[in-house]
Amino acid sequence: MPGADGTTSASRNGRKDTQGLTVRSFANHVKPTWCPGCGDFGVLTALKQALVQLEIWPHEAAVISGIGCGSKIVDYMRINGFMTLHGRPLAVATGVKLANPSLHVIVVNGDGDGYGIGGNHFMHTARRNPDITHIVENNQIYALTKGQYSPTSDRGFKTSTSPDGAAELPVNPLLLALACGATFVARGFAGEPKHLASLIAAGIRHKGYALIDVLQPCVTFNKVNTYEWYAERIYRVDEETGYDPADFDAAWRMAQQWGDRIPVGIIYQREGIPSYEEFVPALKEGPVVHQPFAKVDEAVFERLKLEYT
Amino acid sequence: MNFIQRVQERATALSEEEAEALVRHVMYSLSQVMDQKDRERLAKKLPKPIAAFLRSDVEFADPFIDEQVFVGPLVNGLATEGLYDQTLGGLDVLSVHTGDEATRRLQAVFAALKECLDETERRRLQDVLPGDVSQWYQDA
Repeated sequence: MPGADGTTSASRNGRKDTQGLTVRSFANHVKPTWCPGCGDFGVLTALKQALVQLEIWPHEAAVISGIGCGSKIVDYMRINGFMTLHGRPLAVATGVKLANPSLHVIVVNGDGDGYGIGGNHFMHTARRNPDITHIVENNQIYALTKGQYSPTSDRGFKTSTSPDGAAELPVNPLLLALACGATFVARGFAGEPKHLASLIAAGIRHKGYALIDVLQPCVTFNKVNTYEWYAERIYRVDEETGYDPADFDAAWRMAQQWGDRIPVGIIYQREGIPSYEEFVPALKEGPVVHQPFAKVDEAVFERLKLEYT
Repeated sequence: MNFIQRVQERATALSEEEAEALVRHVMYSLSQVMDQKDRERLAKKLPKPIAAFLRSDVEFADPFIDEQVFVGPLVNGLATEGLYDQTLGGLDVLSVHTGDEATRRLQAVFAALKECLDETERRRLQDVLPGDVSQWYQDA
């Protein structure tokens, strides 16, 4: 944990040099263009704090995002980053993890990118279980395009594309992740960044795919699911007597709660499951980034280069 | 003039219901950045209906709340779109002023709050406010 000066004590523990690691280590000169009060600010703060808590330096992690307001987070951090095509960050992140398994790979995208356009990748990444942390900024609306209903908008939610109210039932990302075999499923609230940071840290520590669905108010286009709306409804599962996140059946029931009471915290965690990287034969000789380049056949390499000229 | 009316007077063009919602949002944000004992001390200085807006279920302040998260609930309650101007490439001339409007309304509540506090309590409150919010409070 960081001390009062924001630095960590890892160097005293003899593990690695983290002298001087603070949230400022992740700051760059780019000013966020998010709306004032946007929930994405809480996610950005929580992510930086989680990395400091875990004593992870900027060069030891990569943040992969898609398209949307929240996906701009890559621009606002001093860290390895890749803003991919809409809905594709999980696929790219899996590639990054396979190339360099020693990196902490973190995907940050919105509910549209993550559960809509990237819904296919979401399901298959959950069952594939790569060691990736997936933070979804779920504001229940497409905000970057000025407010259309999204995969998680409640039925009846009125927007410019649903003036009579959304006709569809919303995706329940927690249930979907559980059904697909995710080994870590959590939900946080952007208005409580300290708790959210602890969830993100737990997700990064978890070996395997970790989903952290973040209730993230869109202050401009979603006037229903506001900070106040969430604050009146959320409660912490770890304060529920006897709740065991290792119990799949209990997690399944918990994940169905939505409406008057919304659970936040670690809903489900199954430990000891090998991650996807361990099953990939090409990685048996070690990380791709550490394998000698000379092993690549020159003729094959030339042909490959031609593809990009 | 009661607390809500004083906020109405400063924020201008707000109905009583809007002013009350504004105060409720600011009290919610204040609750998030104050420890329970500080919150209870503040509550004693405020009119009871206003003190009732402070949350009672938060034991410790969240140290990671910055000025953006602080103003979030308030901005959620603002009109933030509706004046799209095609001569400006579709820019919404209402939304571009959201930040300034949020600050102005926040300061209207802060000014009314400061009238309820002595100098020591005013400083105590300023000390718990994050980032720019502390300056806005001082200027209110």
